[in-house]
Amino acid sequence: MEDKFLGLLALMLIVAAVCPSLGALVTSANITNVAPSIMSVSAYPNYTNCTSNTLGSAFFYGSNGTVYVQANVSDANGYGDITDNGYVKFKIVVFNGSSESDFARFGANYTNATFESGSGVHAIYIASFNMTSNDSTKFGDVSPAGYYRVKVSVSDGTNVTTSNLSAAQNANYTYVNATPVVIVSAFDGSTTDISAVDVHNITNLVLEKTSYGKINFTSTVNFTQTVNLSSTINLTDNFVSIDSVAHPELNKSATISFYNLTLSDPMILRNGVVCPSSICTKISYSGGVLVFNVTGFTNYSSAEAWCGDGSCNGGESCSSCSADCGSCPLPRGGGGGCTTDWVCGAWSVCSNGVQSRSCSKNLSYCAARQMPETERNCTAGQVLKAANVDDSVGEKVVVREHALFDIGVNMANDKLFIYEKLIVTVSLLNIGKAGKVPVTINYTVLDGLGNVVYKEEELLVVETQLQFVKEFDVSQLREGMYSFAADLGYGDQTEPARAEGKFYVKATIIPTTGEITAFVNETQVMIVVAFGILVVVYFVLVEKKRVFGRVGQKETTERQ
Amino acid sequence: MKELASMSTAIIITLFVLPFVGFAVAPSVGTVAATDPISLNESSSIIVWCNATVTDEDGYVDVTTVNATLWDPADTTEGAADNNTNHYTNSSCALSGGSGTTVNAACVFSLQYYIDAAEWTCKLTAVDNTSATGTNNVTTVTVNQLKALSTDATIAFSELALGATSAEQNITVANTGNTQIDVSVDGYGSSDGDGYATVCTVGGSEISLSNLKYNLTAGQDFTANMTVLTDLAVTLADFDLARTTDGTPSTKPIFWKLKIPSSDVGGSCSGKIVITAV
Repeated sequence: MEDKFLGLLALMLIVAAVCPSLGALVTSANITNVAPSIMSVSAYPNYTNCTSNTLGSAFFYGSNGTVYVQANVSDANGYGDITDNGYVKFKIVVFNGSSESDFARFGANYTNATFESGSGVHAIYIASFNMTSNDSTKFGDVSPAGYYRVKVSVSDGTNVTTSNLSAAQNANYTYVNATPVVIVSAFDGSTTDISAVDVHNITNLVLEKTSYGKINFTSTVNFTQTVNLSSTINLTDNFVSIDSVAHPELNKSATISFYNLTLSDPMILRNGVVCPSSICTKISYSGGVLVFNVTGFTNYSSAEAWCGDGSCNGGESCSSCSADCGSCPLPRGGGGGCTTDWVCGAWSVCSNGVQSRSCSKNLSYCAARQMPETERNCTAGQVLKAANVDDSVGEKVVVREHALFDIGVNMANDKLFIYEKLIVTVSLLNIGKAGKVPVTINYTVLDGLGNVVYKEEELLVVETQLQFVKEFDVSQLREGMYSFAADLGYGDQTEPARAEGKFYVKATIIPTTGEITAFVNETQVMIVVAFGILVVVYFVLVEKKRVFGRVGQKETTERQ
Repeated sequence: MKELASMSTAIIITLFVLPFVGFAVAPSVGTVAATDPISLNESSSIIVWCNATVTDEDGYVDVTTVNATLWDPADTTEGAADNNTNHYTNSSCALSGGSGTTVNAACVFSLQYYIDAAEWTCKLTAVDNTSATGTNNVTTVTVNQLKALSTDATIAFSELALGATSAEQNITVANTGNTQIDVSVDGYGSSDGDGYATVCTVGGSEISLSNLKYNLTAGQDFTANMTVLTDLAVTLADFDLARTTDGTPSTKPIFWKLKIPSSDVGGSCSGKIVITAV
């Protein structure tokens, strides 16, 4: 009876437990739609992703004719309002500076762009469009004015926003069509027929004016934009000029010919001064036609060589122009010793009306003629005439604010035996504008006939001065006298920098591959002679002892 | 003298008849069985019953009526007038299954949702042809407590601009049970625990719970005086919404405001506010 009562009570407690009643009501709100906006429109020649691109405003068919479009759009309701309910489209029109018109090949309608990424209220859409060779060239602000313009239309399903005329909401770009216009009307003769070649890849481009000369580019020339070579290239009497900064596509190696020259033995000038051999190479001069190679472009001309131009050329010799060629060696004999030449460095910058240079004997221990002049008058900052320059030629040395190097060489062993290395101390001194300057030194060794028997190039960076010892492996040289030269070249070089020296290779006895050649040096002779004497003395003493021994023995026998 | 003679005659007749017809017996009510416990339905009535077997030695046909009273003895008396909260009567219970001296009595009551939650008594009374009566009752009919409420189905803030704070909207809470209630409130966007007040159709954007606030008093400043709706239910202990006693549910409002973020949200937004009777 009691158990039954407790069970009933438990049941009552369970059923009496309160089951809470709840009401779940729906909250609702509609948010006012805000029209989307266009933050920016950009055009790229290449497209990696939304953040790693380089803007482009000029497109060229054949190289980068694909226009990649990127639109940064925004919707205050969230970029999803565009991606979910709307779209982004783009269109290319022609803009003449004040109004827009349809680009016929693209059409009047906008084309869908592709969603790339979104965050918050911003979304990035991309698209691309290929310009073709049939599309008109547009030069932007070059007359006639005209751009291609990328416009964007963005919708959130309720409102549509289209690019206004602001710069941010449009991307203007210029375009050069398939065939950049290369104007060569001022040239004649064997000038390349531009219409018959691919201006993006012209090999052996020839530009000739039969009255003045010819340029034959030996490297491929690639024109990517319209250019008027008639005005870009100034080819006149004994002069050619190309602004290679404005037209880097023309800064290529070439063979230049100047016609109708009246010089007897012209030398090549680059920007008015002697052109370094590292840049200019004279090919020939005959019948008034000078032909030479250049490695790149600036201004080139030619002038009669003069004594004092730093180069032993134009028929100059040690007797006619010791300033360039050094002094002639003294007649051999009569002095009991050797003779040598003077080797002079480049003239210094004009300072206080004076230029100087240093000269030294090629073989310091040998006799030489009188030292060449080491000072001469000049006028700083003005056109200077060399000591013996003809006024009619008027070639110049101009003092400029740039690096000016002097180079000197000192050969430690100007007499060396076959298979020995030539050791030279090279000194570089920048007496012009200070600063790190990359330089090139061309070392050459010439035999007695003027043949180049050794050649080496070295690249260095020099700030003010540099001195170093360099070994040259000239072990292949045979016995004889050789000339050593170091030519220094550097950017904006206005003065040649060259140092020379001479050395003599003597024979000795050194076994080589399969042959023994007779060479003797004084030390070895002394050793051999001394050894021979010792051998002779030894044998004399031995023989004397033997003879005395026999005599003694005979006397003893006789006494017995 | 003549009057005395008539009285004597009647007494004599009675004395002669009684030995032939016998004496009438009053009916009796067996054990009362009732609906127990009684679990109410919010906002509506419920049918309950009190049943018993009635016996009359004069034959079941002698039982003329059975009536019943169901009342909360802690709140009223048996003889009080009917009241929807504490007193119900049925003056004509259904009789069925009569055989011999017994018949089954079924007494039905239609109880309102707001009756007292207490131990009620149900008492049956049987009456025979001689108006003799018999009674029995059960005193442990349990009426369960019912905490229940109803609210508006929606709260619509209409169209709002980005960054705007809505006009005040109120939710009316009605007590649809039989006891005073407090309420707890919480909310979510699309699923419980997501931390949002609403989710919106544009790009899956959401409005944080912190942007939806309430107060029991109208006209409060959104920033300074209103309470942020939370993911976990918070009880409003002072809500104190009494039960009805007349069939018209008691009501009380809760006032709400929604602040729209300044950007990155759009379209139609919806969420849920859960209000629970506690």
